[in-house]
Amino acid sequence: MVFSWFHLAILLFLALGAGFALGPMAISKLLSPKARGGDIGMAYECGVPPLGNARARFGINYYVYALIFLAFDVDVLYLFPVAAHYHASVGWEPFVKLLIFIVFLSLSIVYFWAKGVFTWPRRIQF
Amino acid sequence: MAAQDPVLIKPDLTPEEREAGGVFIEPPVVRIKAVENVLDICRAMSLWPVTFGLACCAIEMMSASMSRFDISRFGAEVFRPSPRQSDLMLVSGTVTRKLAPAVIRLYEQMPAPRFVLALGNCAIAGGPFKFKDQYGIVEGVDKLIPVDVYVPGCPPRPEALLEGLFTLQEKLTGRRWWPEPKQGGSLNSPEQGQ
Amino acid sequence: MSAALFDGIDVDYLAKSDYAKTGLHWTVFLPAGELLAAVTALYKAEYTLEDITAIDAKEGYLVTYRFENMAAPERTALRVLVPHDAAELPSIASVFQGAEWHERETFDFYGIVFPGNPNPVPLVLPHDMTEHPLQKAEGARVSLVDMIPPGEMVRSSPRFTLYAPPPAEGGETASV
Repeated sequence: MVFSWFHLAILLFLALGAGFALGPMAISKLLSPKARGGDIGMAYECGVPPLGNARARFGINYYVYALIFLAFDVDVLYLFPVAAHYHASVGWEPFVKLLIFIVFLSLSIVYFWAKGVFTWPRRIQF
Repeated sequence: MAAQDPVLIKPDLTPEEREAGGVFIEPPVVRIKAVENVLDICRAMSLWPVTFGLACCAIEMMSASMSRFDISRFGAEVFRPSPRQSDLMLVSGTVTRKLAPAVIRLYEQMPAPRFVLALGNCAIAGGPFKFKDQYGIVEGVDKLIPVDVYVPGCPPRPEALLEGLFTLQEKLTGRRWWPEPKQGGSLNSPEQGQ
Repeated sequence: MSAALFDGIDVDYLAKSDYAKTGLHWTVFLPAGELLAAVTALYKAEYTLEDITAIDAKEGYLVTYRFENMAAPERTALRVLVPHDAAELPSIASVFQGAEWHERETFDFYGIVFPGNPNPVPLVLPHDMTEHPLQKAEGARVSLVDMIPPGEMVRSSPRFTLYAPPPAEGGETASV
């Protein structure tokens, strides 16, 4: 396989992304003073030592929102190549295929709507 | 004082005391004067206060954050509720003995570089509540934590708080950045005065 | 409210107070044993607790419970005298939950203990403080007669001698 400028560009892009995240951390570690000692490591709770455990029980509705988000996120991922290629497609077939895909997605939206996920005060019944 | 000069709560902290959990600030690993000057200016222009209103001076602090006096012109708009996200502690109000451990803990939970502005007479030296045999207050927050700027008043006007902020910026960067206020002016006739 | 509210209770002294001068409509002196009964009667008559404070006087600590009825409107003070060396009163937090904080504050400043208080920790003073700031020195205490006006007496028990004129010998001090 030939190593071309295109591959180099991808590698540089990855390096830039990593540098964007790690660079400020490195700069901060080198250039800033550090506070030490005392209660700096204590979990913040308005100036008093923390009361109770942080592992509290969360409502199930947060989990459902995260689940829906993940599902549609993956769907959007599948739609990216479609969007890239769609202008070059010919005929009604691609449109119908895409429509079927999206109809099934929207069926799941209808299902969650009926379950009451989108109205927060209503308890989600499963 | 530049922000990176080690501010030691106990200046003669021995290594054993540091091991034992004494509070101190470690200076940075790499020290380049020009970079530090630039960083000091950046820090001075964006000091984020922690909302530490304790008493009446808190009202003046809130007033300074509102539209008429507008502390956000000078960078200190974002009052953080958590000390972990701030670098300036505006101690505005009387520190009672019951709250003293919380004040110290919150100061220790602020990351470096951190600054303290004592707003009002109570935070400076106990204020009107200092009398013989008083049982309830700490006479001045500098008995608990090191203070950088003192703003006297009972309560100081919001303009005084802003001047205190400018003094802190001058302490950080070495110069005052904002115009001096005109002396002797009058609200009703701005063309008089001076 | 009428004085009938305290009918079943063995009060020491029940009087109408001058509202314009004292801010109270009724003032009632009680022995410590009748406190809970009186407080329950006031609770049933829809009074709300305003505060619980104490006065360090010559005769002892006078713990004052102020109640008010917003509908009437009426303010009543229940006063209980406890001796300096045995400063203890039953807690009324079982009837008025808000009394818990007032009793904690009274303990902070005077050292009066309220057994039965669900949370007897200092309210406004630091936990490591042992002295009680508002206790007065012996010479600085004033008699209750000078501080609390007698008002218009409705009912009094013979053992209550606070407002009685001193005997001719001038030997005994007033006691409740």
